[in-house]
Amino acid sequence: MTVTVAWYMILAAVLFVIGGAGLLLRRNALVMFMSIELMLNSVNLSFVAAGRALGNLDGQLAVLFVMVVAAAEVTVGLAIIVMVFRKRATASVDELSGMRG
Amino acid sequence: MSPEFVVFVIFAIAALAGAITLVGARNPVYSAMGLLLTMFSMAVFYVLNDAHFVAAVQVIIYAGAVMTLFLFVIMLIGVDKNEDREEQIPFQRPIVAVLSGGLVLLIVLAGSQAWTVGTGGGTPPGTIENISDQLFGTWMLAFQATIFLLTIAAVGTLALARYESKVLGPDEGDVDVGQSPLRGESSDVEVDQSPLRGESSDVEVDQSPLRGESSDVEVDQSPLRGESTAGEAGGRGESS
Repeated sequence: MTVTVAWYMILAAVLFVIGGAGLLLRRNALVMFMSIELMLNSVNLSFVAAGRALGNLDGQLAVLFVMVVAAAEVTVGLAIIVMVFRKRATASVDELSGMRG
Repeated sequence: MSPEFVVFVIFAIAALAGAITLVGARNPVYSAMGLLLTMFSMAVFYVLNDAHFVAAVQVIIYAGAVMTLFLFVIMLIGVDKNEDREEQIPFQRPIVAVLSGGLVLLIVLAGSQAWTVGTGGGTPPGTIENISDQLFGTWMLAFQATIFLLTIAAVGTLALARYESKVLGPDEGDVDVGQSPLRGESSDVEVDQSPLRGESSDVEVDQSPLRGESSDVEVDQSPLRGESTAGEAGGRGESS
């Protein structure tokens, strides 16, 4: 039984949805951030699998750029979380209602 | 039962277990470990897809650097085990379940139409040489744009680390905001405070380089000139 690209796509879709569910269900800002990372990783997996199916390297290059953007996003996001924690002493997003209208 | 199928099944189970651990674990450290397991499984999938360089980058950057950063921040702000899981929005969990299942079905349906297209087969392996030929040739402009992106991210992180917010959070922000109008508004308070500052000027001069604010330095210098003009000089220094 050979592994076709469809297997990778389905696995990537399931991982993406698990990450999205974690983003919707969790309160901790760090866990929400890690869920976003999981979603980015699943998209990377689909890029690589599609790149092999289509016979070129563009998928892998897209993965590299996604990794760069994700690394930049993680640094800024974690700095924001740490700054919020210094002000509010919590990492729960429900506590952060300062911009409620 | 090809070897690739066996490896795929094993690491697909590992990746799913890691993802479910990430979402379900109460302790954020366990969530980080689950994400780590998923990322290593991803690296294995990349190797299966002939993306060797991307697999190495995945292990080094994601599992190494990014997850270390996450663990540092988790340890820094403390492990919050008693997270409030009561939902504020009614029926949020059923809505999430329905939307998640619908999204999986939609992706599988849409993908079953499209992902059988393609030549397949003769993929150039993702070695460093092949990747760099593309990266420094076709994608040179995008590669250089990432330089600006990373520089901006680093500078922004430094600015956030040093930024003392007066906007965010009324809890401790009121302390900073409450001190500054006393210096600028009423001269009576300034005259009353100025002898006190003149006595303890050594302490304030020592504190001023730590804050890095230029206005503090001017306010600290003002008691040295005289008592009556101290408030005005401090006020100008604040307003300018």
